Amino acid sequence: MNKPISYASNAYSIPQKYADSHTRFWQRLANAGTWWSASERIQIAQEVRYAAECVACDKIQLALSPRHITDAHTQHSNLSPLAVEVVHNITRDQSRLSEAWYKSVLERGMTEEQYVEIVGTVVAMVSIDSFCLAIGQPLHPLPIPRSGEPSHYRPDSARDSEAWVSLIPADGNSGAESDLWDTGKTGYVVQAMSLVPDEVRTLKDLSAAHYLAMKDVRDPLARGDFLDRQQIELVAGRVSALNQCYY
Amino acid sequence: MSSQAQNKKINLDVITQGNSSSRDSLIPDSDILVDFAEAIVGGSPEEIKTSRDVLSAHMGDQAMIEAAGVASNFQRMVRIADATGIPLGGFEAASREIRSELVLDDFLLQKQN
Repeated sequence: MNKPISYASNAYSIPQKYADSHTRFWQRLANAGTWWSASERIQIAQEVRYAAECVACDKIQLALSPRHITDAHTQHSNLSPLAVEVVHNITRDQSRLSEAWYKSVLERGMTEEQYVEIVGTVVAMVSIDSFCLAIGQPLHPLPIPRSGEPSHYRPDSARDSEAWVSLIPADGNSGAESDLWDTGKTGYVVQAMSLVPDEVRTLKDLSAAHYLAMKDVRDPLARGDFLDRQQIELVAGRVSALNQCYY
Repeated sequence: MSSQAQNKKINLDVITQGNSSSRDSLIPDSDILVDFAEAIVGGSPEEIKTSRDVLSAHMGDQAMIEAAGVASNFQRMVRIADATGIPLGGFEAASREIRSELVLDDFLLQKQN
């Protein structure tokens, strides 16, 4: 039985919205996803944590040209070496991922749908673990996988795009995807994982707890409860710059 | 853009240069917030604790928690953008001036090379 995530033992009084949002992701993680089983999804989450100790990742980070390092990643799961490479690279060296590398991942047998679900799992894990580290909370134990099969659901409206991955156009989120954003009013960073719609749902859920509800992001007067908007964007901007993010 | 809407002037150097910037950001408590953000990205529990304690003492526990939430949110957002190769789209024109000031296009150039 997987227990809800709690911050009750933390030294600070952590608003319940964080535990609620993190619990919803943990519940998703414990179940079969769209392209990966529950067991595989939890192994992806484990590899996010193990990436910190990966010798190949250390070499890649130090290398002038990261893709010239061909050492096998230190692996602690039954995932394929390719899946581990994807998880570790997104976790540890995301600023130097290239379209050539992404295409090589597809050529080596991963589908773009599987890739997008890995991206969604990795980024949610990085965010939740990073929050725990920031507030001095031990990392939450990963959930126990439940039985079930991946749904293999691919939205009909997903198309090739200017991004590396296929995605749903801004004005194309009708039917089962109508909840993803206000039709026609969104940005690429929200659309980015729409090939696997549940990843966008998790993105929205975590963003609303950690930052701002997606509907408020473009409202320059939206602010936090304790930080004003300039302070929020300062933190966001500094974190993005340190991660060498162009977006 | 939020500063324009509120008619507030700020200096953006602190985004790319951190607290080594010679210009005051004009954002209240920016040095404390930047230290905390840098510690979170750096990942050292000791450095995080030091900057967390300073932030909590100066701005309150709830402001610290909110800053932790925002920082960890953007640890996620940068990875989404970088791992999916999304273009800037309409954001490019809207952010041209800010991008120039922050030299953000250098990151994109590095990524393409």
